[in-house]
Amino acid sequence: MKEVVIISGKGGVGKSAISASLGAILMKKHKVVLADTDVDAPNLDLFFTARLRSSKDVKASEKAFINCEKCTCCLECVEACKFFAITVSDGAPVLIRYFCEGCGACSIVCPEGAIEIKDMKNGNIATFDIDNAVIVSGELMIGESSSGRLVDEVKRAAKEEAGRINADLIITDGPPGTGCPVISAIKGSDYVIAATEPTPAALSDLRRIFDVIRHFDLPSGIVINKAGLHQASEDLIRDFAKQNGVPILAAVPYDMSVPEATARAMPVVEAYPDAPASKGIMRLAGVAEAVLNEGGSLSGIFRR
Amino acid sequence: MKLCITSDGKDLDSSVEETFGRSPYFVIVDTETLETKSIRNTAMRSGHGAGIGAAQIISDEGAEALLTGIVGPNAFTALKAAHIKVFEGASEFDSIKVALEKFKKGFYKEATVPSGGPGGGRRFRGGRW
Amino acid sequence: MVDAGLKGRILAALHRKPLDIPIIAITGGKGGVGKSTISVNIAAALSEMGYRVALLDADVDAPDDHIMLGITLEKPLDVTVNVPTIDAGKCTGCRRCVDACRRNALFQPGDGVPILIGDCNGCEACMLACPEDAIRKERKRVGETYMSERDRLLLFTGRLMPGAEESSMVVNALRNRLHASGGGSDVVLVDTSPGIHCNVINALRGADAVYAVTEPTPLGAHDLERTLKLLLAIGLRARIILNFSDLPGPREKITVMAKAFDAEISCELPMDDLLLKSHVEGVPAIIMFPDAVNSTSMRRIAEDIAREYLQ
Repeated sequence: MKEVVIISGKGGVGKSAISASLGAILMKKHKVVLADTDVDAPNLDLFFTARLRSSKDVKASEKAFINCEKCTCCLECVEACKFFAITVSDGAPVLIRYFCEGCGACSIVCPEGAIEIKDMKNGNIATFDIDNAVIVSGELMIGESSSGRLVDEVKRAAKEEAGRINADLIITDGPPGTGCPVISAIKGSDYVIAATEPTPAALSDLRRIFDVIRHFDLPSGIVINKAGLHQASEDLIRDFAKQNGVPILAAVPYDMSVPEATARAMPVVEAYPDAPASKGIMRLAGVAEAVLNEGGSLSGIFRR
Repeated sequence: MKLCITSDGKDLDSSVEETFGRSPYFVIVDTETLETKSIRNTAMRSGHGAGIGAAQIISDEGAEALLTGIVGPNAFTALKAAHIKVFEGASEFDSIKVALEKFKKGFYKEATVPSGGPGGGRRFRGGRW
Repeated sequence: MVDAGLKGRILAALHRKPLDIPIIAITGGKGGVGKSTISVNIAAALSEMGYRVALLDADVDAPDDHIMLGITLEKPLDVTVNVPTIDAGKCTGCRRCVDACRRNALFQPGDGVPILIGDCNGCEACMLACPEDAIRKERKRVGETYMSERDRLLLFTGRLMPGAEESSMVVNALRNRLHASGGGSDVVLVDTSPGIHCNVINALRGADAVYAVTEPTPLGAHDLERTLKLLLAIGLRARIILNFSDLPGPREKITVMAKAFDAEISCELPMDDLLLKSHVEGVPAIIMFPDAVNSTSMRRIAEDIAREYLQ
């Protein structure tokens, strides 16, 4: 069983659309679990006719609770909190739980023992059945944090499901950004596909994402989405890839069929299989299969 | 010596657990007297630093060596600081009893560098896909 | 359950404004839906109208506003947290620091002195727990803030170090910097990060008006609902901007949702190659293509803001 993770650094380059189409292609030949770890905005199930099988709460967050009856308003907790989660109102401490990191510093300084740290629900994991595969999707509760830990739980659930159905492959749609949730998503995987687009903003975020990938020493490749949009930026991406020894796995042409397929809630390879973008993603799928068969190394499979 | 083996259960017939930080149990065996003790890994549910928490637990138990599947770099640093020898490569298809026998025969190599990337005590096992 | 009185005090504390200046926030559930493009264009339009604008790029994981404006980031200030170093001379081996650390970042080898191995987020709980004052603070850099100026536009940018976790520290540092240096502005525009996590809430604090950007697709509708729920939870109403409005998707989902949350669709922006062109050139569309349909629309939003808050 192998896992490939698709990340992008920048949001909006088309990561989910690519993950959905990649999944749609590979699930025709292999037993696949799709893991949606974009817990802030999980969308993968929306590309398929997904039937919700189960949903379970995840308690992967810790928050402080001030017991008003024991509190004497000494305000020691206010200064102790390095995350500015406790402010003062009418001389009393007010805890804005959204900003609480559950570190417990406040409970340590409180002379009255009035503060408790409790495990809290911060999201849920839903399992969907689709025609040829299973989607395991994590969703962060509104205003919550600790998405890294929620991502860990989604990956664990996906692995369990993959074991249950004897899947060959887990395709993980990663979270945007370069922070802790992305690290959780790529940990323990076999290959990382970095999706980008030829714009100056996306290139800047591509560099950042490779800072993270390199740290983990994972085999990786780049897919250029919306190729043809801006030649100067695309050249810079290819230069970057060359300088860093990262293969360009495929270039998916800029094509209106992608947003239109998304608007119709379908992977582009199903809605418009003859579109240039679909052909590009099929090339990507071919390369991804070959790469994973080789155990993550490329043995001459480069796409320039 | 006091050897700690990561386990998914409390006794010698339990299977080896391949990850260290989130292993449910630790089976601690004195390789000379064969005295065995099992303890729960209370660091298992930690959001962060499960590996370091696990290292603290077995260090406090006086473990001198650890046998497991894979150890991430943070846990590895902690184990080295506590002078605990690290042996990797134990398989979840072996029972604790079998793993102990293999250990005594010198089957496992001592790890001098961590094999996982950071947080890498959690690699999916390979296999044909 | 939080009682009503407490909830009122929490919301009041949440929305305490750093400066007595109108704050307009632009948010949206999905990356790539157009928040930053719209933010920089509204900022440019207000600036063109003669107002001094402070633009806060609070998407600290992937800040793009400076790229879309073609501005080089200036005046960097490090954002740091304090991580522990235990003084062997003073340490008695009591272990309270190790136990206080909920991230298991500290490890005590045998009878030795605890050492920092794991990820420290700078909470300083260990230092508070130590009875011997044996822990020294060491600075660890987690990101930077920048303050860059061009004409009447003051751009505040926050950037988290790649791989770091302390995004809330960077957002807080950014807000503090605005507080310290943004007093000369007439209006503050905040470009939040996408999503519904706590840093989005942090960036929305004190907002007088919020624009929620979405697109007429099932994904857009799903993420808009989450954004609207978030705004409801913190007592804010949304004005919806429907971007890529001519996509052949289920726009009735958007209109139904808007009604349910008492939000108006204040503007529609059809797909526009010119917007894309200006995006890759690093010049706001309202400057590069002032007569384009979307430029006119975004200028109108700026005029609405000026009329409502600045006159």
